Amino acid sequence: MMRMVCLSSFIFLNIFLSAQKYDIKGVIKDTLGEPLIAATVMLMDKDSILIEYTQTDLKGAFDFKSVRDKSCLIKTSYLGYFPLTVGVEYKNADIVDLGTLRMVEIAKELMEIVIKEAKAPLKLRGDTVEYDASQFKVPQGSTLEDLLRRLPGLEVSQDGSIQADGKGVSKLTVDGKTFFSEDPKFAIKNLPAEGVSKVQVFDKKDEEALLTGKTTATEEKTMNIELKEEFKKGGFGKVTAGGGSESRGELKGNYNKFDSKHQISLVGVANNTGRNGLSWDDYQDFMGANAWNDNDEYDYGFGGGFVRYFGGSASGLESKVSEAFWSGNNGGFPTNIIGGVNYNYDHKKTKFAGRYFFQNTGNEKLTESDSRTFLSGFSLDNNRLENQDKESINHRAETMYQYNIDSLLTAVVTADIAVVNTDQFQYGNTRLSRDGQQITSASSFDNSSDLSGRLINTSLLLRKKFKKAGRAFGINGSYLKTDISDYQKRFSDNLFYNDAGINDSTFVLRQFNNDTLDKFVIKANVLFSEPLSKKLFFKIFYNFSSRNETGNRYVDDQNLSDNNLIRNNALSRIYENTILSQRAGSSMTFSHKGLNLTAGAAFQSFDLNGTYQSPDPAFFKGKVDNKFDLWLPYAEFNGSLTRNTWINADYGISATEPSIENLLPVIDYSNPLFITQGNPDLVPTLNHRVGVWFNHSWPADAIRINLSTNYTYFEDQIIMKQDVDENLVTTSQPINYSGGNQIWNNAGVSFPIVRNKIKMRTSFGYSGGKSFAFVNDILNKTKTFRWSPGINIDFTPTQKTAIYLSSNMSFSSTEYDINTTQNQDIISQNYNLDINTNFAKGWFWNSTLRYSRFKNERFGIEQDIPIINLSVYKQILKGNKGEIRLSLYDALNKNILINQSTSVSRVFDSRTPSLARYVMLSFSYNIKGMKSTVARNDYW
Amino acid sequence: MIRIYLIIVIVFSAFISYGQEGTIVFNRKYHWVNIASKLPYLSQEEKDRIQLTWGNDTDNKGEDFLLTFNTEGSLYTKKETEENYGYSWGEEDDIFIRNHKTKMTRDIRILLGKKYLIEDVIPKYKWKMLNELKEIAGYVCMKAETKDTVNNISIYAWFTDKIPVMSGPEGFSGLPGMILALDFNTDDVNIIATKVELVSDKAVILPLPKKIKGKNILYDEYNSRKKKHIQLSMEGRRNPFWEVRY
Repeated sequence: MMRMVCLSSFIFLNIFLSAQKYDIKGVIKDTLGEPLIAATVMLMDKDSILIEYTQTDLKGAFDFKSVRDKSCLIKTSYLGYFPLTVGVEYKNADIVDLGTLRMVEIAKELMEIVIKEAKAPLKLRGDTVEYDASQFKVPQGSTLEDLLRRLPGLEVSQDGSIQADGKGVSKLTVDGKTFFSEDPKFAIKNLPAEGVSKVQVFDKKDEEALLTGKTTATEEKTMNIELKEEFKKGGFGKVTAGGGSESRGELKGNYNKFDSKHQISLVGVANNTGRNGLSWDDYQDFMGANAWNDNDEYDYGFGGGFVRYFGGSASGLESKVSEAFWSGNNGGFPTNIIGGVNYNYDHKKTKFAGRYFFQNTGNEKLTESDSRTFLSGFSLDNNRLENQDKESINHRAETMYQYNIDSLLTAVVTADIAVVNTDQFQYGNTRLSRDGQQITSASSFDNSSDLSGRLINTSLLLRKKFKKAGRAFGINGSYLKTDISDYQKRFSDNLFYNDAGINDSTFVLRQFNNDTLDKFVIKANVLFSEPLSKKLFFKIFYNFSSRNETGNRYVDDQNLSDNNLIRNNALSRIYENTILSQRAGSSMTFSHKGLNLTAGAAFQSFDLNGTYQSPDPAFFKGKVDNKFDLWLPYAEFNGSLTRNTWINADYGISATEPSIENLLPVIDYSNPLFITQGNPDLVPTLNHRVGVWFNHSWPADAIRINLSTNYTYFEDQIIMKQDVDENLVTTSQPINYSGGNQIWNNAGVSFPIVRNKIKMRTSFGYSGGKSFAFVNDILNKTKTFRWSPGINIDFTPTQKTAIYLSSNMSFSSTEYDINTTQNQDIISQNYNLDINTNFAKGWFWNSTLRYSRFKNERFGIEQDIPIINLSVYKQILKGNKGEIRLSLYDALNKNILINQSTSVSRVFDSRTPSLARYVMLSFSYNIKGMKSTVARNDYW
Repeated sequence: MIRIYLIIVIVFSAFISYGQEGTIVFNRKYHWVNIASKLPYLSQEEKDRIQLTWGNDTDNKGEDFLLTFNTEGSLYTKKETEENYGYSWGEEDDIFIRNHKTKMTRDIRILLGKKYLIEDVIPKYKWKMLNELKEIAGYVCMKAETKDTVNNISIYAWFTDKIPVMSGPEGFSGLPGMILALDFNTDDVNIIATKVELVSDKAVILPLPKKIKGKNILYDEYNSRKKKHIQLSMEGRRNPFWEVRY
């Protein structure tokens, strides 16, 4: 293209202007008449486009031959002088002699202070200059006055009056507007220097000049201060309020204000629609710059590091604020009240983040579930109907402080606290039957729980880099303490039936439990890495983790006649556990030309200590003191084989220690029908894992494929050995067994059918596994397979319509080698259709159809759940800041939550009716305008 | 005073006339937040959100590039660093090889996963001279502007006539002296010289790669492919610059 232009202009010039060629010459001297030698002289067209250039000779003379442009510009440049631009007009002479051009020296202070010291660009307008004041270094917290004192050409006297080029400055504006008072003395003492980007000084125009446009030389000047873009504070926010049928309502708002140093955000939600109303975007808006700055885990090691999950806690005490934004659908009729405030500070060496989050969630639901447990020769069916009413109040505060001690050393401190209170009521009934026909027992229950917990979690991290690239040292430690107390009521009336189906005994349970659990976890990690050469890197690490739990459970039975409480020492217990795990390892990495090969090994030790007893040790008492030492190898290969191809393969062994409960040599009779017994001979499970993933893309055609596979073989897996006696009492004990495995494969491809109009993504997953259990000394093998194909089609025919079609299915089968008649096939299918369209100016339509189908032939379950949501909305107000939306949720009134699962000896299915059809009218206001596009962004 | 100045300048120019060989280290900073903030398909709220979450890019240290030049020509490519902490990404980088005598390129350019060898006339840029001065790496530079028709943006260059070599980073040249800084579309990508080493006593040898291979193509075709990708990506609501060099 460029060549074309050059060529055509060349031809053009040759044909029409060849007769008009002329020469330009001149001499460049300074103001004292000395020639400037080797000055650069540029010939430009009238739009300042460079044509050619030359340098002056020893006499300061220059010339350009055969110039074709009729009018052009000559620009001269010489170090320490103002560049000089002069116009040249062709006047039918062969030579245009510009004579002597005099260049003016740049004032020494401008040259030295502005250019050399402040390194600020100097903008030239004739003989006057403008420069970027923000480049002038002033101490933090300085006022504009301090800055002005440093600027060449300006003088600030003691009383704050300003002189520019010898003239007084009588008026000051900020971004062209008056700043509180026009008096410059007031403004310069109150504006921070940090925010200033430009200082402009110009002649003050009097009223007459403004009216007539006639400019006169005045003795006074006006100063305008331009603020930096980042100091013009940003902020955005949104509020939505809606009310609907079925007494449904929602209220949601978030607001956000930020500048280069501070970010503050607020979020609030109140609704009873089950949608917690918080999205990925809301999370990002709330957390700001810390949204993806994860300072939680500092475990060092191979691959993913040394992550030890201690099971968290069922109370949700150890979850983070961020988890509130991703809560899933629990069915039922939920209510939500959420409030949060976040503050981030980031300036120079310091970063701080602090947030407080309040969450009050409630849910009322009725769940009907069926489960079938396989026992030797027969199965036990459990049909359960449960009403649940749960309310939880959480307060959570998180803080993070990061300080860069110097450019190579960083310290990070975090501290979190949380308080959780959860009240739960459950009542309903269960019915147990043999082989799904003969009733064995029926019970009704009424339970409640009042749980409260507190958490404190602190950590410290030091990260040190060295001048030698690749050398790094990191050390961190954390301390977590929680205490939980839970007061539970357990009431039930149980009826037992004999083989003839006649009620032969009754058992009434009136029990109160008082649980307390104190836990603390200490973790520490150290890492050092050292480059041995440009291609070889050595790493050594050590991980320490210790968990201590002290707890007790006091169970009291209520006497049915006098309501007195009697301690049940058979069910009460006092326990203390300490699990200490340490790992030390090292690895070597070879990195070259996109290939990285790592091999290493670690030594891991577990030290498990525990005591477990009844308040009356005569009932039971046990002690655990086990130590395990293991060697764990690791190898990883990863890199880019060719352009746009990535591959990763790794092999490693990880170890999972047995739980203290499983190790305790104590028989637990708390459920007389299901007795559990510990096994002090258990050893840790070794998980041999190998994984490969592969990724290739054709960026020009927007095609991507990915393949991955993961295989794990379990050595010494902990499985259950069950013995069922003639009275159907099951005694269960954990044992080690090798041979179990799990495989997981996935393949996906994404490609456009019609570029930017129809895009398709398909995925295909296969997973499978083998697990074991012993029932009455017979080994039961269970194989599971799951096929899960998925397809997505994005159709964006025009700017105003977007259609998204997707489907995913899963075919799971579970095969039992003994109870082959119980083999399960569970099919779940999902079909989604989303249509978004902007059908008239400011009017939008959004509809979603979700069709789910669940099928389990063995249980005779076939359920179809079509959910249709429709909404129509209109953007209103200036800048589309407002939106009125009318929505119909679940148009067919079919909403229900289904859960299905199978395991080695149990299949499970549950149904929870959920909030169904309702209509809602809502209004939203967005400070920055509502989104008015219908298509989803690919990614930015 | 002026006389002393002149003598210094004469001595200096005598020195620099030998100083037409040397190396310059450039730091290239890619400000993806600024790029994303200008994407036409994002709403103002989405742009603000990006600014809020990722706006502080003080941790962006950029990447170093090296321009080697001698009387014959110049070569510009990514500088080998040990900063990768034991991980080799293995990304090949574009290599700009320019012969100043024949005015031809032997550039190796990677576009959308394909490697091209471009043996073409050194592209000519229409430079508009601006009235600004700034010091970069010890040199007082002047400002010039050119339009990039592929990307449809303005590119600002700062050049110094004290290094009288028509060269610069990223294949840019055509100004009366070495380009020491480039600014793409006002802070989308900044390239700035951090270290200038002029050599007078020994010849600088261009670190030419052993194999110069790639599909042969000319700049016209290269630019039209790049332009097509940018247009298609924008239409498809996707940031094109993850896949092509800005």
